[in-house]
Amino acid sequence: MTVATRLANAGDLASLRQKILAGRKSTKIAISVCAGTGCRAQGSMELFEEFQRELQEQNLTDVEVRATGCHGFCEQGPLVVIFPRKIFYRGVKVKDVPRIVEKTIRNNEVVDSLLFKDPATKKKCLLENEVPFYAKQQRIVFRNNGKIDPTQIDDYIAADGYAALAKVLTKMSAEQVIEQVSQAGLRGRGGGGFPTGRKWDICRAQPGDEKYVICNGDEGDPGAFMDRSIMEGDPNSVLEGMTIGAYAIGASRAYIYVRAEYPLAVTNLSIALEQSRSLGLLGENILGSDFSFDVEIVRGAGAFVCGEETALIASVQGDIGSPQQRPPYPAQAGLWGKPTNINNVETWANVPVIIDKGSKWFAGMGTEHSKGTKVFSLVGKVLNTGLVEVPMGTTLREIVYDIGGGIPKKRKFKAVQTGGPSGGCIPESLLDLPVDFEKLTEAGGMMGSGGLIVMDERTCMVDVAKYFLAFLVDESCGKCSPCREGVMQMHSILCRIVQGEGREGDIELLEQLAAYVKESSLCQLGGTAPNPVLSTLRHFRNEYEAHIKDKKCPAGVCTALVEFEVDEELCKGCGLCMRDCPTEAVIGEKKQPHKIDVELCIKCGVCYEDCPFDAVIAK
Amino acid sequence: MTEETIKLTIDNQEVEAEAGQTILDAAKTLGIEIPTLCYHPAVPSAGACRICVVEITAGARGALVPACAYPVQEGLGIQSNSERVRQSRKMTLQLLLARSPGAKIIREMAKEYGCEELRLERKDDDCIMCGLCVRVCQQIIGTAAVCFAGRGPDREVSTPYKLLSDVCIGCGACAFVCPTEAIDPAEFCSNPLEKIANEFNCGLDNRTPVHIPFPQAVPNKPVIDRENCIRFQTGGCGACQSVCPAEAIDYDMEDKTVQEDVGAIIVATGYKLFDTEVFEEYGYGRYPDVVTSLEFERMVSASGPTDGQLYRPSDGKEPKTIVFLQCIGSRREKGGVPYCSKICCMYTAKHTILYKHKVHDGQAFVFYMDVRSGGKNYEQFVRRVLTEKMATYLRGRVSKVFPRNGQLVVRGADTLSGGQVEITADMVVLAPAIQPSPGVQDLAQKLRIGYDQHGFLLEAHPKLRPVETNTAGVFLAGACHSPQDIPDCVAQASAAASKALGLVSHKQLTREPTIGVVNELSCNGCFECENVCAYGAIEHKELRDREGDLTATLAHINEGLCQGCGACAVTCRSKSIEVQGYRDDQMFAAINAISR
Repeated sequence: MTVATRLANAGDLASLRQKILAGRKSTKIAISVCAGTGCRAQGSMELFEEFQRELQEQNLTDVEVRATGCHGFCEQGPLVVIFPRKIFYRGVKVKDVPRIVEKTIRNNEVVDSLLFKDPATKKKCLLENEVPFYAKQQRIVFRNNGKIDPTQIDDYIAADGYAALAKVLTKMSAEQVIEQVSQAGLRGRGGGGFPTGRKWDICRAQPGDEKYVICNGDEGDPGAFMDRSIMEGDPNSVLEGMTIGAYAIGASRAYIYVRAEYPLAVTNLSIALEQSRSLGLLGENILGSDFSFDVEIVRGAGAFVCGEETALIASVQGDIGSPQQRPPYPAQAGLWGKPTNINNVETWANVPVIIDKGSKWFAGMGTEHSKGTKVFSLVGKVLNTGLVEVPMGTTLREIVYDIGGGIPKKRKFKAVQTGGPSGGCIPESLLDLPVDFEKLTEAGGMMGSGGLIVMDERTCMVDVAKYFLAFLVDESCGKCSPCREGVMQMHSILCRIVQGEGREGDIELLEQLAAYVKESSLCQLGGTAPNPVLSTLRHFRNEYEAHIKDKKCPAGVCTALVEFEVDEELCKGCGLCMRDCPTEAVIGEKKQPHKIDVELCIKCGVCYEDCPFDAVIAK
Repeated sequence: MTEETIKLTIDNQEVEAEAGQTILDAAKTLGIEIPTLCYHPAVPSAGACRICVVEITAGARGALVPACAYPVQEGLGIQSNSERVRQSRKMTLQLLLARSPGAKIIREMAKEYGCEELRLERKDDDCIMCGLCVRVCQQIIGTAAVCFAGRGPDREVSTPYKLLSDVCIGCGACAFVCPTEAIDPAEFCSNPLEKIANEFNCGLDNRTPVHIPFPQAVPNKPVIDRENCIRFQTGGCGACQSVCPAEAIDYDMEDKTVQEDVGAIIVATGYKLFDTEVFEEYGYGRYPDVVTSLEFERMVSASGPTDGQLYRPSDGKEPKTIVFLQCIGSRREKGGVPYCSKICCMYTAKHTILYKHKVHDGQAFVFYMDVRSGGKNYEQFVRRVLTEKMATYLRGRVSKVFPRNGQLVVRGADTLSGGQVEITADMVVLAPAIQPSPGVQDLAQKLRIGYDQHGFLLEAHPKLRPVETNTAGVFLAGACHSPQDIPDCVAQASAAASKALGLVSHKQLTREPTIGVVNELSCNGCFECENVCAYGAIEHKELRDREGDLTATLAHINEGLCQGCGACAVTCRSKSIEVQGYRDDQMFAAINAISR
């Protein structure tokens, strides 16, 4: 922090930015260590400290070490980028630090072994944007992630942060802001895809002076961490977006609802709040205008249903996080009965860029009805897992194959599950689907908050549906009968099916229950809960039939319906399966084809997973 | 805000509703029935059970919405019973039936919708999670003793940490609103309210603090028992006020003292039963199956606590042998009352018939001293009981009632056969003596009327003025005068009413002229006369001068009340009171005339 005095007006902000930039030479060497949750788990904080220690020891005080937000390519962490050349190192360990300092920092040489090797071309990539994972991405929401230190507001200001707010407060009326956001075509990134501008306008039009703005950071989908990375890596962009939104709506108080399981997000947001308050970017008379606004953090206890707006409001109020029947909508009577506008983290983070670069620029990206970019968390059976930001309209094939690098172990792609637990599975035939709100829904999936789980041929779709339903059974608040009882009954039918106790008529019963739960539930958790079943039934009905009629699991996952066997032609007799089998059911000589003793086999599937030659087959 | 009227269409019928009303409210005005489970008019709606879903066909996004929680909107088109709606309700019922197969209301509804066959995995939980109990406790009672705990299928209604609740006031509102009778505050309340005995049913059952005193009460309207009302005792609750559609409940109303000038008073304060507990030999109060005849009367009454079914209080079994004991306290100089209670012989005969009606194979015995059946057709009635063998009559008294093997042994004398008898009975009914109501003596003193040593009020003359008292304008009716049966009470009440009407039907009151008169010139206002007047006829008369200042307070005799007894005349020290027609000069004149 260079200064801690209040900024009296927009001019003060501009001169502060000039001052910060003047102090930073563009040729200055900076080591950016990814301090996102994924890399932290792999030891990036020790790496960060080691860099600091090493530089100190070698008296390289001119070199800056920065712990930044998530770079996105979590699969290859911990990640280190050396500025200004933007040399991209992956899988860096503490023991690599002296080498990097010696070679790259001192002598401007590249440590070859730490570079990323493209598995397709076998070529090494020197720079971040040469890596195929990044090459096809367009980073708008993630504009600062990986570049700035989230705990330093100076970094954000230097990267044109709060310029949009200054513009709004000095040059724009509330109506103009809403107009701008509407024209940009920004739609809610939390799942519903409701036009943000219209949402703001409805809330603005409500009578009363007391209105609230809420940032929904209750990211509950398993495997999704987009919002987490934004809150951890660029908290100020969220705050700036919220401040602009509050100005447009006419609110003076806001809450950020964050899961308590995101301690780093809470810490970084708290730091950002404190720093922006001390600069007068939050609080009374922001930048000398007559607009006053402040934000408070509320930690959620980790209920999936609290991502639903009315349940979230109940939770902020200290009540049980259960949804309420609408109307009244939150825009009419939300928090404490006052008009309330809720947007998701990613939506808020988009706002400053739209104001800054204009609605035309934003609307230039994406498809007819879905503009801008979308962040996806790409996980599952894909080589390059991580966070991916692509323009709307990018095809699933591009995301899975070009960015994700395809399926590991040369297995076949089966489906990609989109939109979180209540999303749907999209089969290979629809891989060329351009991703936007409408297209995904048409295909039986949904945008949701942006989870993408890739599944290969060894995934049983009935089991997948059962897995997601189990999650939804647990996470249903239990208030309305369709969701509480209906999803539970659907789950128990699926349990029967995977146990080999499926009955004639189960599929029809599932369809009946699904249709009922979808249209009779109180909130959208129930309204979308049958999606995993509906979409798998739509695209993989044959797998259900195989389970029920033939009592077989084609993917070899449902152990009750599977028998493992060794293909003697493929088996090389390596002995891996024999070593790992817990019941010593694999028999045979080394270098001779093995056999499985069916009597002893408990169908744990270890051999099936182990075999490097896919010689263990499930029947 | 001004009252807005909103027009909408339900099942193709137009209806007007007020802003803030729900589809369910609007449907009610049209007489359209929509099934509900988690709804109660007094409790804010939640839209949780989804049984009341209706289909929106116009005016908003076409969807199934809960009628109980969806506000009316201009131009809304609703179908309350379309195929889509019925399908949804059927599925809801199947799910709830699978969850709570024991809940009667769910079974009945499922039957109505033709989906009582259980197709889904069964779970035996009577609670359907409608949350009415939670809402009524939080939002109406304001206690929040119970709440939801857990999520999804683990959701349950519970007190915090499932501990006994010390905030629960045991009001029972949760149990009252529960559609499946799945909640009982006695299970979690650390300090449950004491049950309130139903006075009219002799404490044989309980009543709520708000109750209609008895089936034919006039007016037939509920009253709030302040002593037991949570609202009056703690300031909480208020449930009755929020439920009452007529808004008739006002907790701020207080008792009022009403003063009326009247020409006549009829005293009809009734009777009470002798406290039979003092006769330890009969075991009343110790053995639950020993009851009084009034309790028996309530037990066999169709509007009584058992709806007319006769059960033994101890174990609920039908009593196969029953013994009626008459003259409990009556005709008993020592420890009881010397008089005959007059009505017991007849009602016991009636009870034996009622008993035979309820228990065809039962056996009844009656211990009596004398059967006194004076009255029109009374003797024939008793004869019928005896000849039709409704009961075995044993002349004699009972010395002891005691339990043996879950039954009661009645040991007594049969003076006709000259031996002791012992009857093993399931139930014993005592016929207690009749006594005047408590407090009647105080009333008599206020009204200046007489009463006998037992507390029964005295008539002016047993033969000539049986319903009048010595105080003019005060009459007697019913058991305050003596033990009476219903025909006697009615006859006496009619007579008293006629007398009272005769008194007030003329513009002027005609009295005997022989009443006392005060000589105001000599009265010095000592009011000794007031102390001796048995009829309350002495009034205070104020004399004032021209300026209106009080100059003297003198005695004055109310002509309507004075009976001309002359007690005041002999008491007056200044000889200021004389009885007209018996003035000294008139008396002397009379003596002179005689002695001439």
